[in-house]
Amino acid sequence: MVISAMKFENVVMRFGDTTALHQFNLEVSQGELVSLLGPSGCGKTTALRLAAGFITPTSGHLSLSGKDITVVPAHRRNMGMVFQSYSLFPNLSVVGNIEFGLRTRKVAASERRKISDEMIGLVRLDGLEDRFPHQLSGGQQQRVALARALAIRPEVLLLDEPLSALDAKVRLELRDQIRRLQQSLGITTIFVTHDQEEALAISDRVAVMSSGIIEQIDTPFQIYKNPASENVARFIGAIVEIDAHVVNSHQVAVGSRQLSCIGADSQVGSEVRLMVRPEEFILSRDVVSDDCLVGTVVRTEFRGSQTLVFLSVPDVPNELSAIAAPGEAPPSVGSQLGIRLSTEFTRIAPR
Amino acid sequence: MRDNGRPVWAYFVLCITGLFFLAPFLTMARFAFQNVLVIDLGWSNLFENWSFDKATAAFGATYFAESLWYSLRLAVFTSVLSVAIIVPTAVFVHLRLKRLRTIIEFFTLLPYVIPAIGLVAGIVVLKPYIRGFIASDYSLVPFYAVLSLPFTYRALDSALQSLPLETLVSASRSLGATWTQTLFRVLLPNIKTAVISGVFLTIAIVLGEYTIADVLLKRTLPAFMVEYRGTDPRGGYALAVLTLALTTLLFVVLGLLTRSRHEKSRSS
Repeated sequence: MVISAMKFENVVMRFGDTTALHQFNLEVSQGELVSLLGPSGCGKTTALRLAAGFITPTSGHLSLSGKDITVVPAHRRNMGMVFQSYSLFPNLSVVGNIEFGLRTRKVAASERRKISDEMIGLVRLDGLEDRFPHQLSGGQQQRVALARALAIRPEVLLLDEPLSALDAKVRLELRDQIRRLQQSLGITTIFVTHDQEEALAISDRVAVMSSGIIEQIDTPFQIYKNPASENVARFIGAIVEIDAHVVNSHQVAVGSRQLSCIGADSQVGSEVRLMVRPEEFILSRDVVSDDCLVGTVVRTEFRGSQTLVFLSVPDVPNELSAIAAPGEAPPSVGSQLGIRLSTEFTRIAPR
Repeated sequence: MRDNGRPVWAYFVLCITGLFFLAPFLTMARFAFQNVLVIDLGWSNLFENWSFDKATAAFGATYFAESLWYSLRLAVFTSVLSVAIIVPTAVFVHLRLKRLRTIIEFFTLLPYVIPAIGLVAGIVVLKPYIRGFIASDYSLVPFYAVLSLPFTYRALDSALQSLPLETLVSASRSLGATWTQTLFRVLLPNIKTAVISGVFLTIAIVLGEYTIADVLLKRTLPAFMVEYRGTDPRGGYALAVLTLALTTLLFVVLGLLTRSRHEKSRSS
């Protein structure tokens, strides 16, 4: 049996009258990167603070490599943590910050120096050793924070939205750097974020949270392709919701139009909601067939590798977003396009 | 109109304020150090007959050295006591009792609102029960610590306010530091300037307070000065001017200290 590196068992966390976590269960394997993803207030940061030992759960257990750590105080847990921002000690230099955890562990000066040199190399901060936090950019500060957390050779690395205060380009760079380091060091990591793109990009598994529970935990691919609930579907990626009536095993009606839709067979006669990703729409110039929706192009967004097309469709209250056929010039605003569903589309929810 | 980014009126205000502080100081200094009859003091004899005699005489007076030494000891003990009480309290309030901040702030302002004589009245009521304490040399220490509360607390409060306290404490704890290590290695170094300025303000209070010392019959430096003024008014004022100058010097040093810290960290 594989012992999970970090395990939450039926953890409940209450603050006064509010319950931040309900029966929270999570197992993170050795060397795995699991993201806790959800809107603010969903309990993801509470889960991380529990792991770090800053708070103790109302009930339930936490274990680390099979050992119960529920009541072990933060300073004895050996967890490396990186915070959103401003977590560096302003009075200490880069080296001073990185060596802080080693000093509290009474590591000899020569050994400290060796480790901090190694960490500075790892996060590529060479030449900035003697700078103070206020002399560093946001990205550099977060790299120091990462080096500081890794220097103590933690059993688990806890990342609390470490990228959210950075600008887009730096965020991407650091994101890749974190993932590369995490994989090369094989360090078990819990990554808290509200940015779904970030979570999908670097995680082995993503736990989608809302109101104190995990709605779904799976690989990024499965979370995107097969969301377990409407909530998850709405939270991850773009999605268009279309109310429809199932006509027969391969057709649904949207207002006065019929639309081919395999996978509708089990619910003939019922009212359903189609939850469609932009790439699951197929656009064509053919608007005369009676098995497609017809939409008017409202605007287009050219994004280099693809063009997003926004269409208004009669009887569909929301704007519908789709991806234009690759290699073609974007359709002109006001033109009419036929809209079909790809054969891979299966996300049909009863309503 | 601007000069170097500072509006001209700022200099004007600075001059007025400077005059407001310097004029009484200069007047006192002339009375204390110029061998001219008070009635004759005017612009024409501004530079005549300055002498340090009265001050020298006061230095040599019985009880001067003793009261100075007493006040200095009081200053040290009061500073230690108020820092030891207020630093952990302020940190605790900022970390755990954020909602009570306003109330605590109000309490620390009380010594401002209630005059020292009120505090003394309280002591009189308690006198029968705490005779031993009142008789002791250091009975003034707690009272002075209370008087310094508004200044010390405020200085620390704003310093802590400007720190991302919770994150720093969390970071320190997750790196294996105990609460004590966190206090000494992370918090204190970052609020050092505020602690120092709190201490300087406390010293200034101890060197200036008279009411409580007088009621408790303690011969502190201010009490001695008042006493000495009875026998030699000009000598008394000479001491007052020197004490004022000393306190001012203290704050100039404080200013330089805080500034050089900033500049050092900015340029290195």
